[in-house]
Amino acid sequence: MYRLFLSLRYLRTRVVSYLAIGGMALGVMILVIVLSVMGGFQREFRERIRGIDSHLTVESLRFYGLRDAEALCREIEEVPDVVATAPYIENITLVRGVGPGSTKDFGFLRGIDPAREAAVGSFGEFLLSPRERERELLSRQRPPTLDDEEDLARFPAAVDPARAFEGGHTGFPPVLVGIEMFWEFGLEVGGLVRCLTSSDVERMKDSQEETFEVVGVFKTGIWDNDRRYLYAPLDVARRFIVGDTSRSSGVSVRIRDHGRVDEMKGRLNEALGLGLEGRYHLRCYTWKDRKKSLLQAVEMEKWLLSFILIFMVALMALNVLSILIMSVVEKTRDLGILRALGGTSGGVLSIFTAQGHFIGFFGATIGLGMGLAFTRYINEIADGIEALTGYHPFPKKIYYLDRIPTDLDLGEVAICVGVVILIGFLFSVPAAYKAARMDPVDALRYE
Amino acid sequence: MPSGTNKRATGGCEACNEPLLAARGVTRSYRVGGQPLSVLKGVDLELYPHEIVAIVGASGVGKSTLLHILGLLDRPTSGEVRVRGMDAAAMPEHQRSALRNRMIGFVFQFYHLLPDLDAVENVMLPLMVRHGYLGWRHRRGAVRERARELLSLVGLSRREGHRPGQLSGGERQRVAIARALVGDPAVVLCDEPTGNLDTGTKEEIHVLIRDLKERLGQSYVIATHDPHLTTLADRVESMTDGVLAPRPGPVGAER
Ligand SMILES: Nc1ncnc2c1ncn2[C@@H]1O[C@H](COP(=O)(O)OP(=O)(O)OP(=O)(O)O)[C@@H](O)[C@H]1O
Ligand SMILES: [Mg+2]
Repeated sequence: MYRLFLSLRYLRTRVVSYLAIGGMALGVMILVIVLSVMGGFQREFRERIRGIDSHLTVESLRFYGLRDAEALCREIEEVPDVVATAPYIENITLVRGVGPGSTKDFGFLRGIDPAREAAVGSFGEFLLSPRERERELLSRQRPPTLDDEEDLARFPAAVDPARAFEGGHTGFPPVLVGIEMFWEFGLEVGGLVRCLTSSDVERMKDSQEETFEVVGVFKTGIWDNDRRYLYAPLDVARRFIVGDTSRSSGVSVRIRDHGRVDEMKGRLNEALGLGLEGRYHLRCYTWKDRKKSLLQAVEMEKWLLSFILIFMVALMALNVLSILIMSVVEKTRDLGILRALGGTSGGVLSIFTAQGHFIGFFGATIGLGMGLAFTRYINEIADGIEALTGYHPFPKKIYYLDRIPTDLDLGEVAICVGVVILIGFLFSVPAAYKAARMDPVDALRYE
Repeated sequence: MPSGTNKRATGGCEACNEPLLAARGVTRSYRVGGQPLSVLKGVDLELYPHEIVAIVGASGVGKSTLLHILGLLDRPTSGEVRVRGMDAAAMPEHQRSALRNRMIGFVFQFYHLLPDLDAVENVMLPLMVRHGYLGWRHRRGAVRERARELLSLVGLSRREGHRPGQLSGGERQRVAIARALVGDPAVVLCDEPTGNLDTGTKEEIHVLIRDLKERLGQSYVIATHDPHLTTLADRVESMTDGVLAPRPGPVGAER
C-alpha cells in the first residue's frame, strides 16, 4: 500500500515531476502534430503526384494504338465502381515556339476530349483561368502588390474545362501549354507553337508537322507535367499523330474509391481479359505504377522523419530516467527508513517504477489531448500567428495549399502513446534498480 | 543458551523465559581500503520481554552496528541472531523484512521521519508497509485512529497535520517513537534517541519511554552515551573493543 501512496506523494510534491510530465506531454504533442501534418501532406502530395494521370489507364502497346476506343470505354464502364472513362492519344513531340528567340525542346502532345478528361482526372482543376494565369506570371516577375489585384480584376476568374480549346483567332488548331513551358518559351496566349512528331521509329523521316495556337495554360504543380505536356483536341491530335481519327493510345479510367486502385486493376484485368487472346496488346496501369519512383521518395521521407522522431522519444526517455535517478538520490534516506520499517527492496523499487508509469501515463494522455486539440485548430492557430506577427507560418504561395493539411492515423497515434507509456515504464527500471540495491544501513547512518 | 552472561528481569513471568531477541557470537567486520576492520568481535545478548537494556560505549565502538544487526537491517559476518527462537540468518530477505515490520520498531538519533508526510502519515507508515492494497482499504480508518491515539500518548495530539519540518527536535522524536510503536512490535531499538536533544527534552523523552514501556509492554534496547538514560534501564551492557559486558547500573538494575 505504501508504494502507491508514496509514489503519488513524491510525484505530487516535486516540481520536477510536473516538469517531467510536462516534457513528456510536450513530446507526445509534437509527435501527434508532426504525424498528423505529415500524414496530411502525404495525402496532398500523393494527390499531387498523381498529377495528370487518372486512377487507372488501359493502354495499347501497339505503334498505332487501339482502334475502337469507344467500344472499350463502354466495356470498362460496365465494370462495377468505374465512374468515368475517357479515350486519349499521346505521343512524344518536338516543340518550338514560333517567334524571335524562341527555344525548342521535346514534350508530349496529348489529345483529349476536354469534358471527359475533366471527368476522369484533375484536368479541370489544373486549367488556369486568365486571371490565375496573369497572377502567376506576374508573381514570377516581382512580389505582388495590392494594385496588382485590382489590375487583375479585368481578367475572367473562371474557366470552363469543356470549352478549354475555344477562343482561338488564327485558325490554327488550339493547344494548351503547361505553365513552365509557357514561361520558359516566352509564349503568349494567341501565340503559335510548332510541333513535330512521328509515330513510327522505322520511318522517322516521315515526320508530321503542325502549327498550333496557344489558347490556354494549365498548372499541375509538378514541374515535369508543367514543362512537358501540351493538350490538343482529341481528333486534332489523332490526325496529327497517326493521320486518321480512328486511333487512340488508351482509355483513362476513374473509379469510385481512389484508395482501391490496386483491387480495381485486378478487376479490370479480369473483366476485360487483358493480355489474353485478342487483347494481348492491352495493359492496365494504376497511377501508382506510373509514379513509382516519386511515391517511393515520399515513403522514404516518412521513414526518415520517423527515424528523427525516434530521437525525440529517446529524449523523453532520458528525461524520465534523469528525473527518477535524481529522485532516488534525493530519497536515499527515505528509502533506508522504509527498509527499517519493513519495506522490501522490491517494494521500494516499485515506488519508482510507479512514478515512471504515472509520468508516462499522464504525460501521454495530456500530450495526446493537446496534440489533438492543436491539430484540430492548427489553421486557426496559424491565422492567429499571422494576425499577431504579420507572418504566416505556412505561406500558401510556397505549398500551393490553402490550408495546412492534417490527417491523423489513429493506429500511428496509438503506437506513439503506447511507446511513450512503455518508455515511462522501462526507463524507470534503472533508477528503481539503483534504489533497490542501496544498503539501508548506509542510508540511515547519518543525517 | 549462554547462561549467566546476562542477568534478566523476569517480571515474574515464566512464559517470558524465551528471549525475544538473542545474539550469539555476532561479529561484523568491514573492508576499508582492502584492510579488514573488525567492529563487533563476538557479541552475545539476550533480550527478554518487558525489559529495557541500555548499551553504552565510546563513539565508534559499534553500537549502531549491533542495533542494525539485531533489527535485521544488516547481517552479521558470523554468529547468529534469533528472533523468538527463529534463526533470522536463514531467512530470505523478504521474510526478514516482514519480521522486522512485525517485531521491531526503530528510533534513530536523527528521527528519520519522511519529510513529505505529516505526523499522522509518518506514524501510519509501518502499517501501510504491512498491508497490501486490498487489506488497506478497510483498515485505513482504524490505522489512522491508532496513529492518532499514539500521537496523543506521546503528547502530540494537536500536531497531527504538521510536517517534520514544522516540528522541533523533541517533537520529531516523539513522532518517531509513536511510529516505532504503531505496528505493536515486541522490541523497540533506540539508537541514541536523545543524542540530539537538550537536557530538558531528554528528560521528557526518558519519562516517555519508561511510561510507554509500562503501558504497552515492549522491550527496549537503547544505545546511548547519555549516563542519565541508563538509569531507566533494567540492565546496562557496556561495549568495549567489540564485545559486550554487563555493567551494574546505579539505578533500576536490580529491579
Ligand atoms: N560501511 C562501513 N564501512 C566501513 N566502516 C564502517 C562502516 N560502517 C561503520 N563502520 C565503522 O564501524 C565502526 C562502528 O560504527 P558504529 O556506527 O556502529 O559506532 P557507534 O558505536 O554507533 O558510534 P556512535 O556512538 O558515534 O554512534 C566505526 O569505526 C565505523 O567507522
Ligand atoms: Mg551510532
